[in-house]
Amino acid sequence: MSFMHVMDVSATGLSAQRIRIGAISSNLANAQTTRTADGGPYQRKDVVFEQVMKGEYAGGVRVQRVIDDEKPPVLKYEPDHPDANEEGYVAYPNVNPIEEMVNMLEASKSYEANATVFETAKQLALRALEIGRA
Amino acid sequence: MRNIFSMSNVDKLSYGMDTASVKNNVIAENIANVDTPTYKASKLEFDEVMQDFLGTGKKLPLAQTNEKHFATGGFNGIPADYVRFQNNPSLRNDGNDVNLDYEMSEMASNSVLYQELSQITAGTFTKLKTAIQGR
Repeated sequence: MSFMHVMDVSATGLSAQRIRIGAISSNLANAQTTRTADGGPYQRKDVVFEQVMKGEYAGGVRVQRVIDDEKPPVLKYEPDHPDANEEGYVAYPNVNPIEEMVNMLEASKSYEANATVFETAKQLALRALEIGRA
Repeated sequence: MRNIFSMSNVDKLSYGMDTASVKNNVIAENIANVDTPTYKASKLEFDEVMQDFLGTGKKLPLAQTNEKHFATGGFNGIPADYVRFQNNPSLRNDGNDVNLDYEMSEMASNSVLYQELSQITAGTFTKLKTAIQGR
């Protein structure tokens, strides 16, 4: 039962990091998007992680919510751009591609760590079954 | 006739395996929460649990000193108060103090330990079987 619990915990870590990588890829894809459905430039997305309690037991992690980064947009002087304001400035998303790449490396490292824990728990559970074959 | 299992220490081995699996649980929880703001890493000292168990021969009384500990009643019979905070120094802005490299190495050594214990347990049963069946 206990190793099943470990696998559940690792699975929550895997899915949380996957959602984080999804947010990062959305940020990178929209790094130059000046028009969104809400109007204005794209706003950088970030995820907030939270520990899960399964009744009395610690049960891993989950993405509590996805937030918009409130950093101001980056203004560039491009008077010919259709989205330029009266002074000729265009508001570009507050996305810093270098920052996103760093976050992506971190998320992928965390994902791998969770995958390793999952694999180990699986091996140990199978090892415990070997006792019965003695 | 005495219980053959008490002679073969199977109960000690199985308590050791339970302890190692609970330790594995604690490590998995730390690794899953490596990016959770304000999360504090926990630990379970295998040696301490086993020394107490071997010294007294029984599972110790339970106490829950923190809400994030495994509940009273323990986990797989391991008392909750063996699970404690690591209190690592942390330079991170979000207050998280999980040391991923430490957790990965702990998990590796813990899994070797578990495999050792399960191998010894299996060997014990093989010997019993030989004794019963003759050869």
